[in-house]
Amino acid sequence: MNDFVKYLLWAVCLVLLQEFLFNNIQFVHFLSPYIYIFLILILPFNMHTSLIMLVAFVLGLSVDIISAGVLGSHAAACTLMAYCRNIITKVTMPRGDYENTSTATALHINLRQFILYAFLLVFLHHFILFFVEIFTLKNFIFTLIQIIASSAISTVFIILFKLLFGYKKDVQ
Amino acid sequence: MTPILRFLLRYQKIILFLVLEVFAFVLILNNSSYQKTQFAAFVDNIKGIVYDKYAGVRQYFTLQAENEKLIAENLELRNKLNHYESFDTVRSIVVKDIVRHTAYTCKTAKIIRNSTNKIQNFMILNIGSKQGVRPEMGVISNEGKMIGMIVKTSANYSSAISILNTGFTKFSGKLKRTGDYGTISWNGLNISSVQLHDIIQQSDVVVGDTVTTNQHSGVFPENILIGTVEKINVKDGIFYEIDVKLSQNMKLLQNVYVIENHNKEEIEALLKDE
Repeated sequence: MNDFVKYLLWAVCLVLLQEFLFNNIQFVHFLSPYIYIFLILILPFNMHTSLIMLVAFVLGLSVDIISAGVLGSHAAACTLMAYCRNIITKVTMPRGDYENTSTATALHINLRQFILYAFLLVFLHHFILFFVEIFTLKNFIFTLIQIIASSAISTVFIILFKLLFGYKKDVQ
Repeated sequence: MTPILRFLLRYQKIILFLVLEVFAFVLILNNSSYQKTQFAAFVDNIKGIVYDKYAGVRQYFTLQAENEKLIAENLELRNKLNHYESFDTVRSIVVKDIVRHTAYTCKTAKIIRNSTNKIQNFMILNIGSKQGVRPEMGVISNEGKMIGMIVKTSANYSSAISILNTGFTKFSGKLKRTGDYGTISWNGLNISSVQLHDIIQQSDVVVGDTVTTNQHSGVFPENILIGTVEKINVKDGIFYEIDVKLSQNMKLLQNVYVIENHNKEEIEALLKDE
């Protein structure tokens, strides 16, 4: 399948899932999982960061528009996440396994690496998102706990996605 | 290649990053709560259709509990009716009087989407401008407790700002026993309590006092229950900040009433002249 169509389908499905399923899940008082960022995680490793940022920005903006909240908050968070993706990739996968093939994505890497890679990026995203939403540093510790807990929940769902859709030992 | 182009290419990542972030923060700082955009009505309508179906399925599972609530409400209304019917001789006068002075009427609605997990929470109702809903109408639960206010309507749906919304401070409340009133807002920490501000420290408020709406904003009638005083915090200055335990469980909302004040425009016109 054409890569562009494939990722577009992913984007549409993830945004709809986010709005109509995951935005309605509330575990504890406002801890809710944000899973649509899975798309940013699984874009190919050899994709240019600028292009990833543009995709992430549009993705974030569409979630902003569909879910009622502070317009721009998801866009800001996604853009930062995309910008940092390369750095996090280098930190969590120092051996450069991902460079083996030109189309390798996070779906190819092993689970242990994926968990760290996903959690760090999800945390970055949630950090910006939550602080933009409340726009104050009052109750800093409380917000931070919320961010960590929400990141953990989101990461769990994202790992489930990876287990469902990931390739088995293609590149290792 | 000109130097400026070379510069742009060399630093394209960071430049693009900054441009996108600045754009996002312009949106954020414009306080462009999504509810204010023109596009919102269109998206709301589409979302409304999906959530309507979803709510239909969900309501099926809670029919029993909802029925019991309705029966209890009917019983209460019947008791009140009996009370009025007992004034047989003055009945016609009373009725006429009530009609003339009834400023408020209710419309029934269902909540098809209700969030409590955000800092700024909204509800979506299944009636809209076609059914006569307009912004700034009050929303109360079917148990008669204040829960929010309509902020935006599309043709068949409307969105209401929840009392659990840190960005909104227009709700007002009063202490039923003493008559002191102040503004109600939410600090975003606990979904079962909101804060009542601007109550002066001379006021003899005690824990357990009832907090109700007041008529000043014209959105709600007098004495719609909000909650009870849970904790009285002494702040610097002359005011208390009072934690009010909400009487309504905001997570369990399905059938609600939208309240219309027929005299609102008349009163507002008078205020404008002042």
